[in-house]
Amino acid sequence: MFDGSEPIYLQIAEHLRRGILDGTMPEGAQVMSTTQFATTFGINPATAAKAFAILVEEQLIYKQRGLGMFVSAGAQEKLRDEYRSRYLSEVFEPALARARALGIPSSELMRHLKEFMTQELTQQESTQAPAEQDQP
Amino acid sequence: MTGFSISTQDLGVSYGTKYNSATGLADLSLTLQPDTIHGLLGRNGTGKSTLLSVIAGLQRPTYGTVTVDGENPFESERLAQSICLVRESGDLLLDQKVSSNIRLAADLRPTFDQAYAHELMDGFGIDATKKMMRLSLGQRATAAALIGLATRAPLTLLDEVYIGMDSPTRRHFYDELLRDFVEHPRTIVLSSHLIDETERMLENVVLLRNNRLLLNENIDSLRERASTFSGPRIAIDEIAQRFDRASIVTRKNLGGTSSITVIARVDLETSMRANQMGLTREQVPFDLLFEHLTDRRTVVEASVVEATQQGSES
Repeated sequence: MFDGSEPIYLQIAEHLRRGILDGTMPEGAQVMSTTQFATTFGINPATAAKAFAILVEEQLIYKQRGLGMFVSAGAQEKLRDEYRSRYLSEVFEPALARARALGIPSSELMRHLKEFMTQELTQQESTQAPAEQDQP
Repeated sequence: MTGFSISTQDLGVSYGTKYNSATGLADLSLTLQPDTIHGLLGRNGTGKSTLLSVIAGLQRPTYGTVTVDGENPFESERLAQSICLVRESGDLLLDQKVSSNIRLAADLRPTFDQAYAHELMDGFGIDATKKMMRLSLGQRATAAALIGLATRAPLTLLDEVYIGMDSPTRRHFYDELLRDFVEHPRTIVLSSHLIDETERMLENVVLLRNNRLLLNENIDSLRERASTFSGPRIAIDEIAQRFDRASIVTRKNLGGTSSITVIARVDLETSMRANQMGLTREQVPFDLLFEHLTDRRTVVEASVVEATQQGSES
């Protein structure tokens, strides 16, 4: 799960954030202990502890003495807000800049965006449709 | 049981006679924190084994002092039973069964866990009823390392114990070592040149070069101090000027593009400027960093070492 491009503890912190964001670690859920984390992923417990310290600082998880660590209330929403604001500057704008560098006209980008959104709509409808049929 | 701390002051070891001597270690001063997994790294013949045997009290230094848990380990009875050195050569009785070696270790070591030792042998597929000499070389190395692990000594020194093991066995051993360390914290020093395999387990790194201490630093802070910038040559030239010459460990030019690897903290201004000029910045993989630092051709100035040591204290 780890690569050499970033310190392992930052990779663990990001792994935990993703878990909170996608709901696999819901609010109030107990987070794996530092020692469990260390043995499961085969890393030094001090490294794991550093990652947890970052998340505690970001108030995404909190420590309860003697019980362990838990996901804070509102952690998912907080992360979502943060990732949303970063999305435009980190993902969307560079993608647009690259399109410009490649000479893709904005009309084509708009068309693609529209297509993508209608496709998504029809997909949503088709997944909802059978569920409705099941109901008497 | 908590682990021992280690410190050395101006430690040196010379081999041979007054007129024909070889240096094993020179002017080595360091402090190692207890309850930590330290990696002792360095190229072949840089003094790793010498340092471990001095710490274990098997060898008296030529000059300087070594202190383990507040005491000189040389000929100390108390420390002899609490420091466990596992060497590749092995210190087990070859004409005895594995189980007899386990019993012997249990008699000598107050912290030894016999049940755990047998559990480990089973887990690693080693028949404890066999004589040591009947095991394959790899199994013998594994048995020695496992007995070292089951010793649960406050100070465990593992000197290249992985050499005979095949790669699944090594992985299994690292996982087991970590699991037991988590449950029974103690001071562990492992020497190795299999950097990419062991780095994830380490908290602290001691690097020897030319029989001297190059650095003694937390592994994450060491990693953060090295970056590689790459991009247009002109932009790299500008960035390079922001660093002390000694901190630039390599520079590569390929046509109009260049890359530099620096061992230095990158300040915010430099980082922003690099970004502005479209340079890519990457973390240096640890094994590559290790190669740079230990390469005899690399000039590592004293200022770099001082800078990294200050970093580890902060």
